[in-house]
Amino acid sequence: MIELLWIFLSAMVINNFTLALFLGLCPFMGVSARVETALRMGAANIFVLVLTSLAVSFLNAFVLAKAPYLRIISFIVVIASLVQVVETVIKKLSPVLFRELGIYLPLITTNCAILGLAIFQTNRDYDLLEGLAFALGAGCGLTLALVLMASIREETELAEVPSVARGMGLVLIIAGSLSLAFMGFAGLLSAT
Amino acid sequence: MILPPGGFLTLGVLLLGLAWWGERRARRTEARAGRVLRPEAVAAAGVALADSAGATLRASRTGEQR
Repeated sequence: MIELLWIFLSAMVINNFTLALFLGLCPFMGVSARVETALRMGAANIFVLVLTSLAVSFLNAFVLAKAPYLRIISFIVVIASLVQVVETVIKKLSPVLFRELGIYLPLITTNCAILGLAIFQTNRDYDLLEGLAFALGAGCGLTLALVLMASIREETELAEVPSVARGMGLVLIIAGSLSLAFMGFAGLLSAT
Repeated sequence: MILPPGGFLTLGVLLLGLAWWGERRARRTEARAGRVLRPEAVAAAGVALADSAGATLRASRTGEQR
């Protein structure tokens, strides 16, 4: 149980996919203007990550043991199918959210965080439960990074910022500062 | 892992530098355009000035005649 908790914490804060591993930057830059949208994007990502983790566990157990050369192709097919499912469900349940997420929802397919999770899970030989903890941690970490960035960006809209700094430059500086802050978690596992 | 903060910060500083350079260039172009008067603008201003002076003169003369 402790092992699962550490996998979860490690994926969420210590090896945060966005702020420590440079993965999933597309939604991090694109959908971090509003906290509400960031939260929903994070939820969609968590859903896709958990389903991907389940699918990868089954693929590793039943398909890739016999045909390891199909690894990347099968991962991409599974991720694309799952994103299509999520897209259809969101379009049906919440058309407003579907419009707000815009192009970033189908872009979850090409989100390297999802493929990164599948590859990390396979390389580290995680079983089903460990994979689920890893996926949940990675998803929560992605959501945390998105929400943190969105809340800071909302504040900077009200602040007096020089005209030169308005735009992507400021966003990247904020991302760098957040990333530096997350580096402080690096000693968490060894310290306890 | 040193790469992410460094990568983010370097890209951010690069973009800030580019934005500053673009704004400085735009400001200089504007200043240059304001200092050097274009002939057609001078001609238009001259016509407008002459029209208004003529109208004033005509109005004053009409007043004197009355």
